[in-house]
Amino acid sequence: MFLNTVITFLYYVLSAFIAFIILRNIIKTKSAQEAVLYCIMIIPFVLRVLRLK
Amino acid sequence: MNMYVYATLILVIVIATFTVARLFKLSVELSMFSAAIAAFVVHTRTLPIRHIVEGAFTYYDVCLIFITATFFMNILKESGAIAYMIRSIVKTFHRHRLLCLLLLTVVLLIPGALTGSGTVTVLTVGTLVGTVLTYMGISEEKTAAIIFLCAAMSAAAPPINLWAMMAAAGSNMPYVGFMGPLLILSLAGALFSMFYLGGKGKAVDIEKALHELPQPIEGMNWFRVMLPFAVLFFLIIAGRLWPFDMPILGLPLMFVISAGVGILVSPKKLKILEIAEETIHSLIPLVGIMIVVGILIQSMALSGARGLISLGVVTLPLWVLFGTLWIILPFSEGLLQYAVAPLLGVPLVLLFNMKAMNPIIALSAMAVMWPVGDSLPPTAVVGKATVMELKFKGRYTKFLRACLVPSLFILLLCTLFLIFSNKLSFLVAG
Amino acid sequence: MLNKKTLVAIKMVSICLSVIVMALSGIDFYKHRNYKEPVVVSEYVTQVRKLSDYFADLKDTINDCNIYIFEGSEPGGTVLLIGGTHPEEPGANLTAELIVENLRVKKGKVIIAIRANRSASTVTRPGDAYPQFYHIETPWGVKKFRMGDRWSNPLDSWPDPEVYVHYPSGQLLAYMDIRNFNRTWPGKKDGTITEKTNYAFMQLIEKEKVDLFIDLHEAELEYPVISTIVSHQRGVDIAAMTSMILSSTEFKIGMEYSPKELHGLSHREVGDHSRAISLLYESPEPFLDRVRGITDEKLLLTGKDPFVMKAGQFGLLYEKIDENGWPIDVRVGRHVSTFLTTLEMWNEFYPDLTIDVEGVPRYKEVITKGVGYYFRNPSEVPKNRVFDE
Repeated sequence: MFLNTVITFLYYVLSAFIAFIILRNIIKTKSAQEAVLYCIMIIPFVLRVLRLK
Repeated sequence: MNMYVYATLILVIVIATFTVARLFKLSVELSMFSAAIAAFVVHTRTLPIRHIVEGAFTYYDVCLIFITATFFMNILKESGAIAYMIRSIVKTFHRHRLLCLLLLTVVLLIPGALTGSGTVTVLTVGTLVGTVLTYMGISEEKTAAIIFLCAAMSAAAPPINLWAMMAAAGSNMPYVGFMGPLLILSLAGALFSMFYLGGKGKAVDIEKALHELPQPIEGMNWFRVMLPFAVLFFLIIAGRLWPFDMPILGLPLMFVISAGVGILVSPKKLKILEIAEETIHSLIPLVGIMIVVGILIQSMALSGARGLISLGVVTLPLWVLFGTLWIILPFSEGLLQYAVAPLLGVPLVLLFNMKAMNPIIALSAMAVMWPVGDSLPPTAVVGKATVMELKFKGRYTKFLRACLVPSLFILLLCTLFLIFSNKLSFLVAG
Repeated sequence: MLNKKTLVAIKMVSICLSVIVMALSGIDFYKHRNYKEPVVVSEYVTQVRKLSDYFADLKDTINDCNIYIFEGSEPGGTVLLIGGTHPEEPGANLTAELIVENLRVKKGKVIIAIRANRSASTVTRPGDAYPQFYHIETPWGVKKFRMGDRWSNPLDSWPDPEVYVHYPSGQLLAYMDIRNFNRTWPGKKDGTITEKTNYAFMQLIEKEKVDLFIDLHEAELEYPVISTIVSHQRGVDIAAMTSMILSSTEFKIGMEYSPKELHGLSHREVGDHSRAISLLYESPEPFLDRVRGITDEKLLLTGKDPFVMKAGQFGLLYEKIDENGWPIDVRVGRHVSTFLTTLEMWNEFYPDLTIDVEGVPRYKEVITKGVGYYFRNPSEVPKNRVFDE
């Protein structure tokens, strides 16, 4: 179904959006610990968008 | 080396690294991450990057549900729908204390039931309901205790209970049939907390309460409040009524669509991007902990430490479990947060299965006991959020003491569900 | 408080490390997903087709697996054997491949799929620390196989529904089971990739007039359906006889009825929705047990684990285990012997539809020589006999 393809695409967009916000948080945060945590958190979202995992 | 000694050693390394990292003032998330890395390095003598990243994916879908559900609740909050709902309840029912408390309990249960997070309840409706409760003559610490306990019960309430979902997924068990037992337990827990702590007091000081609550946004009405919920409900039901004709939306997209409806019917123009960004920002500690828990679980599975814990749990006599789980579960939640569901929940589900107990009832009971521990240190995530949001000025222990009796009631009720799981099998449906 | 420079430095280092980690793990995931397993098909193969020949929608998708067809010189019955339903159960695809590389059919027709759900063989389960590959010793070197998961890769099927409603029964199942190839039978023409793959196999069963269908599996010892043949009600005579003969001659194996009210499983749906009799074999795989100790390739292939043994001492298991474990040779040996005995019983019950085969070793031979002994060297045969899985 074409609609299912569109839905899957939307999920990739959602993941990309989350990755983008996490990246902005890395840049904005004033806490070193938060920055490190965000750098860990961003990994699955980016790898999913790149269709690697 | 004997595998028992080896796996115990890994466990000791995990605990020691976590403790040292906490002593060095690292956050809970980074301390868990350090513990996982230590286990990986000791076990493999290298840094198994693939395992670390694969572990980070363990709760990927749960994270998406969590983020989109919270976005949905935040849209409703920003559009003024929640303030409208609470003002309407107070205005209409302020003369009927019991009815008013009952409706406020329902309002407190919704956000957590949909998102699986007690923190979301505290952040979206906690302060508003807290304000009303204070004007009903309920003391500060009792108000904080009510908000926390109802938030904890909201996280336990169906349809989304993250502990049950994570433990069910880990034991290859469908997350189906939990609706009944989770609803009964969480509703009973929330109502008992509300009425035990807030049942007595003065009549609502309507003028002051309405003055304190956010002013209503012009044009907001019950239709606009209910439509996003109706759409969400419709999408969930439609997927079950016409499963073979509906495209597969998945829960995250259902929440996004319902949030979209919330945006469309909002009388005030919403800054959508800002809300989305704020949602993710506020959830980062929780999403972060889920990702790190996944990594920790992977390290423990790889090194045999997870197996050792599982084995330890499944070889315990049942009466020992019945007698101790009500203490172990909340305290382990305070220590490890959601990590307890796969670590302790999965082997327990296996054990209950083998002992011919009803695993759905048993897991439901456990999944309601865990969130009670969200007020306990070292993490105390929901407890801390509650006292912060309500600007509670007393000592934290005073707040904890106020929570004690309802917490014990909830734990007792859940223990009874555990013991009599088979007799309660009729509750399993949907 | 950190000064600004230190904070920026920490952020830069963290971002760089994050990118490196993404790149390194990304390469690993990519290599695993795209690794091709060379199969040297037996010289007696009649033709090698694609699953998409039976349902064109699967063409150029990850699940367009090879279909190996062996026809005898005389007509007879037709059996379809599938491995790789759950690629975390290596005994299944290894058995199917061993048969494909050694089989000769004299009478009737044998059709085999080694990797029935390829998608699930391109991913390992997050949180469970599976190895990505496993290696089997052969007389000519080491042969490498992809380890997989129980569910199709989310990269091929995303998102999952809120709850999975099985087609056509309407039974409610866990959301992720819409990617479980043994919960999606008989498939759905316009469904997810997993449902479409089941549908394609049902088309194959119809077009090739399959009489007997066999689905290979392995199970954790904590799971009650183990060391057994699960049979559709139309196959109970054959399954019961096979179980009796094997239990008195080679090894203990049980037999059980496919529950009528449990939908989506091959032993129920293939039997209900086609003319074929459907059977499912289970052999023990301690690697899948939740109480297992160190998770590695050694455990996967030897099936030795002290924690699982301890669980056995507490009476928590449905199959015995001792210090010898459950080696892969034993597990594959059980499957091949069960297959051969099933065919013998089939021939007794249906002499008009005889399926006569040779070249496949039995239990004892596989244990003595090892499963690797039966795999051919792809570099020593003509290219037209080598197929990638």
